[in-house]
Parts: sequence; structure tokens; C-alpha cells
Amino acid sequence: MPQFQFDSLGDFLSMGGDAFFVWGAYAFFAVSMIWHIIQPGMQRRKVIRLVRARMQRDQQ
Amino acid sequence: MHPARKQKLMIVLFILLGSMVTVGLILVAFNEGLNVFFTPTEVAEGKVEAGQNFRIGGMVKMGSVVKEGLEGTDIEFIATDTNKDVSVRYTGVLPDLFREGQGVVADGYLDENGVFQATQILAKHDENYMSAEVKSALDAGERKQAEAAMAAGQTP
Amino acid sequence: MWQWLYRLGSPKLFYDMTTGFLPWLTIVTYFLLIVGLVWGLGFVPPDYQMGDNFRIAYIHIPMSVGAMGIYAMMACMAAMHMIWNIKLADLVARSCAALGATYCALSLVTGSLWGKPTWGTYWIWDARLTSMLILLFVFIAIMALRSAYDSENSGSKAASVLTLVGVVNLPIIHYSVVWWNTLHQGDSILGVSSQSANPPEVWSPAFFVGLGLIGFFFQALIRRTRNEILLHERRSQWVQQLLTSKQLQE
Repeated sequence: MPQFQFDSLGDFLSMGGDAFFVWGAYAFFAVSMIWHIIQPGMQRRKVIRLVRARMQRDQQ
Repeated sequence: MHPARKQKLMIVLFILLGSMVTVGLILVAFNEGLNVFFTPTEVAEGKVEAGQNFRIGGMVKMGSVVKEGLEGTDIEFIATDTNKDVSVRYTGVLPDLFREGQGVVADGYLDENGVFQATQILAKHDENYMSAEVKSALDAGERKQAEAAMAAGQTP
Repeated sequence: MWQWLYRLGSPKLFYDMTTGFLPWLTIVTYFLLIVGLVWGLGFVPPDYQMGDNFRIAYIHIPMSVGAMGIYAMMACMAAMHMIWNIKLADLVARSCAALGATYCALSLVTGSLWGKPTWGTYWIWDARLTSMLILLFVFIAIMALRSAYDSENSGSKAASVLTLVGVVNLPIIHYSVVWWNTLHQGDSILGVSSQSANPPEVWSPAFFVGLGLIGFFFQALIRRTRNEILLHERRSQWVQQLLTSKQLQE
């Protein structure tokens, strides 16, 4: 089994002194992924609203 | 296949082939310029003029790093591609991965004595990732192999 | 002979098939990503040279490979769109571009953040970094070109042609570290035993993250493509029925 490689949480967060680079890279990654999780949902709501509005207009 | 589809397929293949040939020719034309550094052998062949700014790349020769007897953060070492050597002089902060036996890329110029005066030192890392334990196990294995080869060579 | 291709290209079939499939794909994706990232961040021994900053590789490498893979897929879709005039292929290609650009940008940003502590610089104009930056520009150019046309058909055609032209960049990125000398290291050869360079302990988390990112790409791609289908097929009967039924929440 792989062992946890850090002695403490502080040790883990400091990443051997390269915290800025490691956590910076992971932060960019997290933000981009979250955006791609949220964005299609917003797009879907917009599309459904638009198509429903057009359908209603066509019926009148 | 439908003739119209066949024609479209030919267009697609033409675009792919055309762009490959065009870019291929451009790359061949610029080939040398796309290298990010010159090797010590290329420098010895006279591909770079003295005083011209360029990058040199090679390995830091084992045991060649000198810091003692120099001022402040001055450092001297030999960059090698195992064929030819170039002496490098540098003042300033070194990257963490600057080590003997490791790759190095230095930005600077050759002075009149043929010494490379570096203004920036970059460390070139290889593509092998491993833990300290694996590294020492690998080294031990290599030593054993080398010893075995030596022993085999001595007793033919 | 080519009938099956047209049937597979039916937007309704795609929409119906992905409805049940999507939640499962999403669950598997998050599982793979979390396992790979936690493992890579905390449970792999530090590199003997770089220490802990090599943990950036667990997103950098899968993102780089992913960006190229997405481009290859987008090019296949562009070719299918051009040759067989399959509408769905164009909708998929359209959805690929934004995701590809994100993967490519993340490859560059994480690589830059890794370059500073290892090489000593955020950026160098070597062949690998430059060709990857060009890939990002190509992704952005394809999106821009598509939206620059008033007619959607013309935009699709122009984007397809540009996508095919850009394929030439893929072998250049891959072989850049072989054809020219670069500051970027070559591609790692995966070791099979724990006593070799790049042992399985080191690359296994990257394998999980890689699969997770492939899954993430496909689930985001499917969700985007479903939106495009609803929009472009809005005059078809099945979409109108779907939207009049109250079950379809916004």
C-alpha cells in the first residue's frame, strides 16, 4: 500500500518549499474544471428557455 | 462511395498533405534556428562567433564545479557533451537542480579566451522520475553490473 | 454501405443514448480523478532530484496528452463533417474546441509553474513549448473563425478547413523533443518493475488522472453537444415534444 509521504498537515501544505508552484498549478486546474462543470448547465438552461420561447411565439 | 463524397475526401487529403508539405519545408529551412542551444561540439566547430550571444547546452562535468577562491556567488564549471568541453563562468543565483552530472543550459557569450561568460543558468532535467530509494537501488544495480563486466573482462 | 454512418450521426439517437449513460460516466470520472490526484499529491515518494514539485506532473502530463488527443478527435469530426456532411460531427467538433483550449492552456500554465522551480525559468522559446503555444492559438483561432461568420454553414466549413490544416502541428509537438534540442525533457518511458526508472509507483496515479481527464472531457463534451443538438434541432418534432413535456427541467 502507498504510504502518506508527509509528517504533518503543515508539511503537506508546504510541499517541500514549493507550495506556491504545486498548489498554484492545482488551483488553476480546479478552477478550470469547475468552470467546465458549471458552464454546460448554464448553457442548457439558456438553450431550453430560448427554444421554449420560440415555440410559444410560433404557436401564436 | 458516392462520387461527390470521394471528391470531398480528396479535398480533405489535399488539405492535410498540402499543410504537411508546406510546414515541413519551412521547418527544414529553419532547422538550425529552432534549436534552443548549441552543444560544445558545435561551438568547437566554430558555428558561433566570439562575442555573439547564444545558449550553450550540455552536462555539468563531474568534479568540475569550482566555487572556492572566487568572489561572492561566482562559479566556474565545465559544460560537456562527452566529446568537447567548454568552460563556463557565472555570477548569480543557480536553479535548485543545478548539479554535477546533470544537464545545463546557459545563456551568454564566448569571451576572447574561449570561456563562456553566462548571464543566465537553466537546469535541464531528464525524463526519469523516481524516489531516492529507487535511485540508490538502480545505482547499486549498475555498480554490480559494472563490477561483473570488469571481472569478466579480467578473466578471459 | 455508408448507411450505418449516417444512422450513427443521428442527433436524436445520440441524445437518447447519452441520457442514461451520462450520470454513470460522470461518477466514474470523479472517482478516477479523486483517486489519482490524492494519490499523486500525497502518496507518491518525492522525486530524488525535484522533491515535491514533480507532483505538478500528475496534471501537466495528462493535460498535455489530452489537449493533443482532443485536437485529433476534433480533426476526425471535421473530416467527417466535410466528407459525409454529418451535422452531428460538426456539433461535436464545435464542443471540442473550448475543452481543447482549456486542456492546452492548463498544460502551459502547469508546465510554466513547474519550470520555474526546476529549470529556473517560467518560459523558454524552445520547440516543445512554442509548438504547444501554437496549438492553443489554433484552438482559439478555430473558435474565433467559427463565430466570425454570420452564416453558420460557412462558419462550420471554414472552421473544418482550419482544423484540418492545424493537424500538422500534432506530429511537430510530439517529435519536437527529438528533432531539435530543447530545454523540455524528452518523453518518459514507463518502467514496469519497481527497480527501474519511472517505476509503476510513480506513473500509476498519472494513469488514473489520465483516464479521469478522458472521462471528464467526454462528459463535458456530451453535455455541450446535447445543448447544441437541442438548439439546432429545435424545429424537429422530437425536440418540441421533449420541451413541451414538463419532465424536462431547465
